[in-house]
Amino acid sequence: MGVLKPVNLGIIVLSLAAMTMTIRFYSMSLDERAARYAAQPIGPFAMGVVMVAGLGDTSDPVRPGARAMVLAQYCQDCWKDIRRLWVNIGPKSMGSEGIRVIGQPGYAKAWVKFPEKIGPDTRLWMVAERWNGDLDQTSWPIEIR
Amino acid sequence: MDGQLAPTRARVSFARAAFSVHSWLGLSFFVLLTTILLSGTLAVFREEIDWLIYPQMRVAPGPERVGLDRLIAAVRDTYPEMGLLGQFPAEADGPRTAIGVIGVSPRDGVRRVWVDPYRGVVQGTTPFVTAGYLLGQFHAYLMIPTWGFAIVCSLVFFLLASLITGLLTYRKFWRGFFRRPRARTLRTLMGDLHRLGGVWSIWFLVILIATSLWYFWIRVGEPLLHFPHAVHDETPPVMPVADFDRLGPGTPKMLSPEGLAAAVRQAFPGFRISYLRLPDTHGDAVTFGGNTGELFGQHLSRVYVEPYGGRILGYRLSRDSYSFAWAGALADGLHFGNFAGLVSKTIWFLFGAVVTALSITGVIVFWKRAARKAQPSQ
Repeated sequence: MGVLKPVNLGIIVLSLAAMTMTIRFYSMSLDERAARYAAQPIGPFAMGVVMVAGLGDTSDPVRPGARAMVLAQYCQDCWKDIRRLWVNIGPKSMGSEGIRVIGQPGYAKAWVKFPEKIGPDTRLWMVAERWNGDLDQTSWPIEIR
Repeated sequence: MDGQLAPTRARVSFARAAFSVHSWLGLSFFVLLTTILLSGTLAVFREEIDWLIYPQMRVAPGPERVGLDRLIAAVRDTYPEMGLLGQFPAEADGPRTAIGVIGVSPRDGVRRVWVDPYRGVVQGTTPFVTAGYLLGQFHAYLMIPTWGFAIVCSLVFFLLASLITGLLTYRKFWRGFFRRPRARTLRTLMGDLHRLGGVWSIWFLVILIATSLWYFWIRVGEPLLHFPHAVHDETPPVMPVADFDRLGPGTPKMLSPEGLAAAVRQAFPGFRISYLRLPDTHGDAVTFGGNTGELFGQHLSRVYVEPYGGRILGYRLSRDSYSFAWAGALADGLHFGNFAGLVSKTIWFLFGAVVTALSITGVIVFWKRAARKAQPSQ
């Protein structure tokens, strides 16, 4: 193989490393590094949030300037009752201008971006629209861990 | 006299040049090529490998299968915290195999949930990356994102050149189908086996090369080399805004998956549903994938149904136009030999082993030749 022998072997070694990372990526528990926001009333519903830096990303999700994945935790059987759901991070709610949460219960998600400075007024906002058009909202304080 | 020798000398030089190229091709990426060929051979039986390893996947056939409602309810009731990803299969891979649903568990990460299709009971979960799945993915792209496809798919050109130079080197190769290998020395035996295996696997190599060229186009050409897109992603239709706005003020009732499936079968008699995809948001269609009996493309046809009234919002049936998507399904079937169950898979496995052995016997022949040349002449 001559000079190409190390290329062959290098690719195989890289592949084995990638394989290990892939297996770890798909088997990681969210519990290990998620930021959890306990369920609280939002109109007639009770919603919680689990936030991660990303699937397979072990970073702390709450970081200034960083993106994070918000996973909405629906109350039982209430996915069908909530017409639309939005989230945003900031000092105030963006209402229906926030980021739409997409997905079935258990994997209903939205990507949010933290501001460059996380202060005492930085909150995670959630807005739920009912089928009659009424909007309900709630929020959680953001704390850097 | 010299004029008569000249064409013979030219033929011999050409064959020798082809042999040199053939040798160089086989040696340059021997380790990588053999790894890809071996993993592909084993990946023919990737579903069977998982079936043997994981008892959660095995079921005893029953008189009839339960409906979609019961399948989905079984998963949701057993794992209420799990989020279902992507498609929900309506059929299993075989009569003794459970239906595998992919879900995300907060505690365990991405898992496959296995449901008995005859009894509607969850049998347990397995990791998403099962042994068979890992084998198939390793073969496809060495688990290296983006560039892994480039590495694997580019080997098709080595394979094509090896086939051509091999046939040019082996003059009158058509006489070699029933030539018995000689066991004089290891080099002779390996050389004869290499030639015998080569001529018998010509048809198989042509299929592998043709399907691999397709994979090169869609996995390397389109994303990295700006080739025209052969297959376009289709955006499913959604409910018309006016219809969506009319829903409410109370929670509108969604038809059950089985009720929606009945609407699909009524609109398209003979449509065999192989999966459904639940809506991500209210107003999205429920997608039913399947086929109407066409060869290959088991999942290519799609019908989009509005979930509150069962109205058909759109459809694409592969029988109406054999598109490049069908070509992709054909390539998948021919590349892994999974178009006729265990029979075709066994044939593909055997010839995959032969092609893998070609790589190994070729290197043995080269080493033996090189060792013999290195010996001092007596």
